[in-house]
Amino acid sequence: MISVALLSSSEEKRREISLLLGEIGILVYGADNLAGLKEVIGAQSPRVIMALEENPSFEELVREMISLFPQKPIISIINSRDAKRAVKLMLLGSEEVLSFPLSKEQLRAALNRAGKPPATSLSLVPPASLRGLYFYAFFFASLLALGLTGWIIHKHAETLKAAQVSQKNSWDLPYFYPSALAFDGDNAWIADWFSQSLYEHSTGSWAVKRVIHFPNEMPVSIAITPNSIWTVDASGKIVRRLKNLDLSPVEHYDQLPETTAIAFDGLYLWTYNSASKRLSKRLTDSRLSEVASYPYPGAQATALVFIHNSLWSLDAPDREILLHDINHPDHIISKTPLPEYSNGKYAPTGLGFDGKNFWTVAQSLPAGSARAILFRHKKPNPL
Amino acid sequence: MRKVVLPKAVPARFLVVSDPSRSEDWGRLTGLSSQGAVVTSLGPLKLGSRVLLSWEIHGQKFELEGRVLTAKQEVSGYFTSFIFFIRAPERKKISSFLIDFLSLKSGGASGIRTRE
Repeated sequence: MISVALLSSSEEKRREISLLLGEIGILVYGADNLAGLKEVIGAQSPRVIMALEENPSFEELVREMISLFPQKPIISIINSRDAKRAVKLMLLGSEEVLSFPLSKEQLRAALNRAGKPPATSLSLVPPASLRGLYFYAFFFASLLALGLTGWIIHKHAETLKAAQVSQKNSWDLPYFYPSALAFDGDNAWIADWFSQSLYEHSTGSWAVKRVIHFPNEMPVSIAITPNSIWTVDASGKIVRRLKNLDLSPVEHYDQLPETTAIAFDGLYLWTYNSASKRLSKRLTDSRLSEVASYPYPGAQATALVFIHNSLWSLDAPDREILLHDINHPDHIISKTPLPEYSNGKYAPTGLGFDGKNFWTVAQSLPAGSARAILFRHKKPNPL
Repeated sequence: MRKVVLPKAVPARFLVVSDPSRSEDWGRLTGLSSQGAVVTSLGPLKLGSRVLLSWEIHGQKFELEGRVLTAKQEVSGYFTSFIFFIRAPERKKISSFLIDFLSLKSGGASGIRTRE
């Protein structure tokens, strides 16, 4: 059972807070001044000290408690919600600061964590920042190579940098639940269903350039044409959007439930239904009329991509990229395995082609346990 | 990639810009990168809400606007949210700070853990 030393000169307040703490199974030892607190700590050794703000010199009292009992976590309770004051008290050493009115949930959480304060981890996650690190690496390499001619140093750094860039084939992304990927010139778009947003990344650094939030949609697939971005959400709602700042919708189409992947071939919209496991070729009329339908030849398509006149799909369960016969899309011409997924740490959710390579975006397994990842794959044959 | 861990999480204030009825709240930063910050607090943050986040690390003050991209309640009862920094210049500012800070701390100053 967690025990608490409660410091307050007001018997009424001590009783009020003790009742709340008692209801959540906390044992309370009251003290009305610092001398009383010393006695309680000496005799009962409670796990946590809770101190109530009662006069303007509360900060002084906190400081004194920290110097007297440096091993005891201190939770300060202030009279009004004053964030600046709370932060000041935390900087002084209070492990947590609560304010009136107190709730059982907050008391329980603060006491559960008392003595186990969290840490702050600082890291340069995004590749944009790597440019700075590359600079330091270059500088360091240059120092080591002191004595060599400028031309040699320059050539060496260039080779080193090029090698680093070409070896890097995966990038962490600042979100957890990616669902689709598409390229648009120098930019790439990635949908994240959990944050209900589309992220525009610069393909050079993979830094996020723009985030567009869809409050009423959960995007599961995207397709890009020269003038529009098509999105499909989890309910099967398909929307064509302008490529403006807000991606304003220009056309809403009939719902196609269970649609999990779309692609545009320049004339027809191709959709994949995950329930019936069928590929459909559709007109872009208001009903998205089906022109043809084919059984999917793989396990389950998670994404579709058109490159010129060839249709490719990401078969997520089998971790393969399939090339379909465009005249008979239910026939496979080639299968390209994705060894990046062989360790079972990620599941691919989106496929894109940047003009040179295939890329996949993936979510961690179990879902949400780590940040999303982006992989650059070798060029599959025949391309 | 180098990572520095400050053993005591940095206290932070946050104001929910998209909800003017809510007063300024506080919590601790448990993660910071050039893209955003992870905030742990007793008060919840709504997914998608805009937040003005302020904190101080080693004498340097920051005040950045961000959007809550993930929000969940931990078993302890605390809420953990990832706040993505909306503005590119601000991300750049954090990035430069982190580059300086991480390179300075790579020697492993007292109480600070570094990982590669």
